[in-house]
Amino acid sequence: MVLAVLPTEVTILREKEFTTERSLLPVAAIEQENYELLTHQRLGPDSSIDTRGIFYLGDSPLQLKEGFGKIEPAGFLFNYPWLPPNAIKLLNKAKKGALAEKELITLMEMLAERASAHFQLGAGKFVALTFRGRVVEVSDTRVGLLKRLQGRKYPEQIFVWRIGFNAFSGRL
Amino acid sequence: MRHEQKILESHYTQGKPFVRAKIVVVNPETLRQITIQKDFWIDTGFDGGIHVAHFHKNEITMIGIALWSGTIGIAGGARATAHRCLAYLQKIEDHEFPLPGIEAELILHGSDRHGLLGLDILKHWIVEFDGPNQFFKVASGFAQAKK
Repeated sequence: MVLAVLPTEVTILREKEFTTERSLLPVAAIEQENYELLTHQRLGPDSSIDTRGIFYLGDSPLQLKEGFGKIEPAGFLFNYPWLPPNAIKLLNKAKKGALAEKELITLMEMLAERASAHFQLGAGKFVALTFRGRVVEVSDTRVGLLKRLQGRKYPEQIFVWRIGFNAFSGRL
Repeated sequence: MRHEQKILESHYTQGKPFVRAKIVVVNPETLRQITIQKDFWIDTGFDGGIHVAHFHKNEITMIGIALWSGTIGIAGGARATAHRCLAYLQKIEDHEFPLPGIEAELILHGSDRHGLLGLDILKHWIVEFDGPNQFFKVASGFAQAKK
């Protein structure tokens, strides 16, 4: 009796194992196919949507520069520091209308602080910054900085700052 | 040993060391320029170059110069917004400096009718104040190396 039962259990177990192994193979193959399809769809241009030459990998757009075959990450620019939410709020407010003097000073202060941390600017340096936090010019002297800026036209509005100080120049 | 060349000697005006100076702002692209001639107070408490009233902004922008925003620390530790550009100090009283003049930061702020000459300009000279006699001297000078 006992001997008759044992082979049956072994058979059942083997069948289960076999069934499991067989079912894994097509699932893995389907997942692989799905992944390749999704990747292909994300990277490939979709004729129904005008991407203007921008390709997407997940949520981040990848910009392909024509002629050079160089990929530039448009969603994450290395020459613009991350700005704190308060600075973004003030920038949005500035787009709608003029800021109060205190608000403008606060904004410049926040931008200068972020830019000096992002670009690792040393204290005492005189810098010209855009209101998105990008550094336009850096100099060791205030006159040196102004000489570089004078007569030049910039597409963005610029302000000047002395890193590590709360004013470019001052009276006691 | 120190060699000095006199630039000016003058008495205080209304208890303060004032000088008449000529400031020029040049657009390097077009070479158009404007001249500001007025009385300047020699201010050792101001660490910038030249300070003039904000209303001069219109004259400067007319020659195509873009003014840069920024802040200025004012008396009492408060801060204010100001505009600035590069200017040249060409003349102080009867003394003319070699062209294009002394390069300096020009700050446009406030509404005072007189301007200020700060430490960034004064660093070029030897300035002596005789308070009791209300008299001051400005000289260009250099130290001679010891032999």
